[in-house]
Amino acid sequence: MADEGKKITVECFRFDPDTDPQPSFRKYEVPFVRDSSVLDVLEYIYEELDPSLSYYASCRRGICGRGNIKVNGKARLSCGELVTGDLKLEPTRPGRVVRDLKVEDI
Amino acid sequence: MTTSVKDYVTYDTDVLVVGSEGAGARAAIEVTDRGSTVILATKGRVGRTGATMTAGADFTADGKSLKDYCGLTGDDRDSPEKFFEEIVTEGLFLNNQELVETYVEGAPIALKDMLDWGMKIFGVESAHFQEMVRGVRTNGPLIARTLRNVVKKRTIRVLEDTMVLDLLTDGNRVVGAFGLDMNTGEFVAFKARAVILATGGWQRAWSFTSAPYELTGDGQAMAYRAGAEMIDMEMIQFIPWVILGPPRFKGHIHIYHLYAQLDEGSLVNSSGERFMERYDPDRLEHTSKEILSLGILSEVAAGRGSPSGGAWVSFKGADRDRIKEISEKSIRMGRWFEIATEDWVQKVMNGEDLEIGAAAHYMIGGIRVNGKIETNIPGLYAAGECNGNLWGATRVASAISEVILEGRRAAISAVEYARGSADARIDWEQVGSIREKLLRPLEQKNGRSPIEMRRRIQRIADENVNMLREGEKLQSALEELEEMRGEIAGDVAVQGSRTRRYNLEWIEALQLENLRQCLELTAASALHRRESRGAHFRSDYQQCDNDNWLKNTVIRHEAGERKVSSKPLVITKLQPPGGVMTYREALGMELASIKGKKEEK
Repeated sequence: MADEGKKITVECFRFDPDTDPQPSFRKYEVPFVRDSSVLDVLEYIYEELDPSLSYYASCRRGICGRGNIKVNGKARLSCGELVTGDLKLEPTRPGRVVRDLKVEDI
Repeated sequence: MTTSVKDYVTYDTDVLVVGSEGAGARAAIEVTDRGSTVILATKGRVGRTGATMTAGADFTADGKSLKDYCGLTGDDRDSPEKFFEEIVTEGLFLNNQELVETYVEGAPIALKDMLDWGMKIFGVESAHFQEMVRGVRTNGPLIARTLRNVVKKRTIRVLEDTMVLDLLTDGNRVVGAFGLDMNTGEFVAFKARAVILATGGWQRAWSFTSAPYELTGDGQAMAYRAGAEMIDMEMIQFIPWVILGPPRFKGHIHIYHLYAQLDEGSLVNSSGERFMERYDPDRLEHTSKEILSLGILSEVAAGRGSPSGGAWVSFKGADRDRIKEISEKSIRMGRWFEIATEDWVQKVMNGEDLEIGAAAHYMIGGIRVNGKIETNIPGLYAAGECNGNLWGATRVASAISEVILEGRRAAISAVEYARGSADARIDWEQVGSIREKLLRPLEQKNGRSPIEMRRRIQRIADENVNMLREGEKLQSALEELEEMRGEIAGDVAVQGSRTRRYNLEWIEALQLENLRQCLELTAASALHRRESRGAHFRSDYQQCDNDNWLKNTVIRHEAGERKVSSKPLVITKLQPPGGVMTYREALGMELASIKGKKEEK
């Protein structure tokens, strides 16, 4: 269901507190798929482009509520958020990053 | 007591519970209420992980006990004996009747506790499309939240984002476990007098499932490695009416409510044919779940599936107000879930087609336990979905009741055992070799990608170990899975980062052997059972043969070998009938044959 080779740019927050002096953003080009979620995009990046990416996913349907990240500046669940164009993905709590988009629970 | 040793932390407890939801949380509460110490280790977060939260969900108990014991609107026409008889009859007599007794007796007690703890219910539930009261309606998030609140109030040490990966043994006794704190990458060793596994199923072995990601068969695989017997691993419930596409809604099961309550839903294949005419011309899509799953899988196998490997569903012509009414009633499972559901319901109302498929849903088989939820290994208990043989060949009542009452029952047994057992003694050499095994994928320079290996397991499962089975395909699956054992043990390496902090690739690498092992046991059991019954359909052995196959498939690991055998059923009250029937007759359905497959009469 990819739309005629259309791609989106995903800017993704990356940080390993053990080794990185500070967080950075890495850019990925991802095929645009109609009716897909931000979690689908994260999975594409992890499986096809960069297996070092870390994020959380469990139920994939908005029930566990642990896939919360910031999507283009707004707090969202990655599985529930429809992809419409380019994305900037960040952790909801940058001060409590385990790694990349995975954060410690409060 | 906590001590730091090298790169692992050691905990000491009476009982370790692995898994934190219906079965695990309930077990931990019971252990602490009975005065023993407990640690609850979970791969996710309490109340927000596993399959309990995603359940629909009804909580079944017989109508008479609902009234007399729980003080609810019950039904005097029902009784525990009647419920018992229906579970065994509809389980096609393969059930462990001791476990069915534990279920029927324990359900009202478990429900009463949940009600006392504040679990909200929406009303009473009828026995499957009958007019008799047989339980209450609630939902997964409400159940999970209720248990989480009680866990918080008790003295329970909870370790979240922690996966337990192997059991520690002393002779033939379980004395603890070894795992990983996924956030820090630090190992954890548990010294425990008893261990209760409550880890759910191994649905992740299939690419399409209604279950959350973390169900990777960890409990079954570690129990098997430690010498536990596995029972009826061929019995896996696949359910149709799970959304396959668009991708955003993949895994949603609530479209089932629309199908069950509307007459307008129809399924078509890639040629636009309403294919259920082939499999059940009278009932079409309103046939049994098993026949519908087999219909969809047969179409996919014949090359007539939808693009994602299922069927197109359409509700064209259905009353929009009715769709809205049904969906609003069934989706009260949290704001985000409701938003997503409203989106796909909107698509349905706009007349857009959705893809649905037969998803790996619930594991009927698993670790072999008795009515006290004890395994064959002293100190090891397995509660909920990770154990096997309560339901026989098909599950007809609520798994929510099952997991909660078995969690409670396992705790009673474990506490009693822990009190009377000698102090656990950890073999640190055993710990060292497990540690070395777990670090291998992270430390070795070159090797196979964990993602690629997981996909390979899923391809084998999707193609050759789904519900529509055939000897040759099972044999080829088995051979490939056996070949993968060595590759997983010695030749997997993370490709991306070598960090130990929440490293998804490493976590996947550690789950690979569990997925592979469970799927191997499923393939071996399915190959062993040369008949068709309930959740298990063999196109090369389509008869349901009570004369030769009313027995359980038991597998154990002996001296590095897989030993498959048939064991007599555990019968307490109800004698099974003899005779040979067609698969459909056994299900109580008179149906047209599955086309293209030979039907033995």
